[in-house]
Amino acid sequence: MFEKLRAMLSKTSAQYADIRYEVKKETKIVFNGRELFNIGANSTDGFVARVLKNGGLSSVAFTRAADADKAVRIAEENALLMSRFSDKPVEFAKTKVIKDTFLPRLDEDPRGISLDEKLRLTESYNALALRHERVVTTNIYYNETVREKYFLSAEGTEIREDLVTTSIGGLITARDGTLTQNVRVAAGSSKGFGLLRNREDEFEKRTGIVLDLLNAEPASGGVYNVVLNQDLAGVFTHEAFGHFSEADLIEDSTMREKMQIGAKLGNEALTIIDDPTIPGQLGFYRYDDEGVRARPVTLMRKGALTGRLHSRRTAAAFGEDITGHCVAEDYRYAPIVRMGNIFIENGEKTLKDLLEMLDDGLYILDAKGGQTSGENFTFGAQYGYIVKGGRIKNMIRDINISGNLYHTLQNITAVGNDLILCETGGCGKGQLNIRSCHGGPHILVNGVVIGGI
Amino acid sequence: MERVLEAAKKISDKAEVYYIEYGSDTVSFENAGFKDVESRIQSGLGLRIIKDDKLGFAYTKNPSQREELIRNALDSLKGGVDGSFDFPCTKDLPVPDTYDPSLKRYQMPGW
Repeated sequence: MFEKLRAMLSKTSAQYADIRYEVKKETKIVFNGRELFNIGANSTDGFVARVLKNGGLSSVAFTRAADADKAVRIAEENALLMSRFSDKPVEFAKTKVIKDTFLPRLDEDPRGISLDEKLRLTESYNALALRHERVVTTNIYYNETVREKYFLSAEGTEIREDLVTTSIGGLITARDGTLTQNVRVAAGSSKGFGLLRNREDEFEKRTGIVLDLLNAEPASGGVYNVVLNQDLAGVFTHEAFGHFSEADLIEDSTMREKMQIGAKLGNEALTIIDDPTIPGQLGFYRYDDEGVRARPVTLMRKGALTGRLHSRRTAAAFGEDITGHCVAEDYRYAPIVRMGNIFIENGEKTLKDLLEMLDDGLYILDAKGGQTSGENFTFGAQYGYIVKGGRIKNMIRDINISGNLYHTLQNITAVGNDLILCETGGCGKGQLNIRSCHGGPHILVNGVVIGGI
Repeated sequence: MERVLEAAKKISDKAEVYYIEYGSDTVSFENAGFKDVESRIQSGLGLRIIKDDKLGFAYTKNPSQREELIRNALDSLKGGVDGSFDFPCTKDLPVPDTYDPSLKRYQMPGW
């Protein structure tokens, strides 16, 4: 394949060019309630060529090898157009020339497991939820995405890497009279099919939560001190903070002034890292889609901004080191700056310590949608509890959390020691990143606006 | 296309192939400045089959992967989607000309 890719780039006179070929194999099984709604596997493939010429960068995605000459010619023309009309010539930060094949070790390769077996496992988890009378419907899916990637650059880099992502999860909905509640359930990773087996406890636990929610009281709106669990801490870290650590998002925005390296933006208790190199985690990879080896980046240390995530272009534009965070959804897209595994680093407190420090407030768990608008965010939560005197009391439902990023970073006053990274993800920054992984330990946050009745 | 259809007919009661080619150029501006231009040259092939009154479907970007495409379409029959109908017969339909050549007159000012 590399010979073929080299030949495709051979006619360009650009100062830099690269080409990526990918085979993408997807398997999907979907149950809506008891009905098998969708089942099937598909294999697609294609190329993305990028050209940097006279300071203009452009990309072309194409699916037929026979179109390669035409595609490279269009990319060159577009790059020249960019250079004529853009006032900022593009440069690429230097990176090592790499020749490597990285096929991660899997706990059961899903490519070797029959569709029938995948169907039986998904059906069995779905049935666990549906056997309860008050569970009125489910939307449970099996998703498997295999990206078999080949990357070649005119600088001499040749990388072959596989990304295998599997997950089973979805939504469980329960009803009692006019009250309807739902919770999400998820099992998955980049590690293979094995992690999806023997997860009955997770599906039982989530079903128990949605049934309990039918007896929970609605949250009362107000300003509270709260303990957030790992998933909510992770979603806050990804959505409210992480996106402003992506260099391409802030480079032409007013946020760039606030996100200066060294700025003291958060509480002393807070250290935030993005590390795509943790094997087996959802956001794990060795090389990004520019052929740069990924490395962990400490984005915030003890409240001070210490780093950000880069492509080769943004690293040169900011005059900072490359990090290996330029990733594409698949063969249809040029890569953009993305998070890998982003998380709050462990502190020293146990959950019991945090609840005692909280004294009176709310314990809120698991994210349920949300949005950000500039530095302000709103997230839903799946469920929570009233905490009195450091003890967990009644369950609450219908919870929304709102806040300002910078106020909240200052108000995270204590950090737990029980870091968990999420098992499924999906970040939609123009392209979908199903391997976007977030997490954290439990955290104590003061003065959070809670929406409710 | 014909070879995929021939192969699919051997393992199903009815088969239909849909092939599309398209190209696109996306130009974006930010703060009144030229930001980016991206192009695509894409093609894809979809296969629908009906076997034992069940409907199956698969797609690919690469028509040379016939066997995998057909296997995937056969696997999707497990979904049990009702296929008690006929595919539309489009062989002799006229091809409507939907392209207006006057579009070529529109140019970006100054380009």
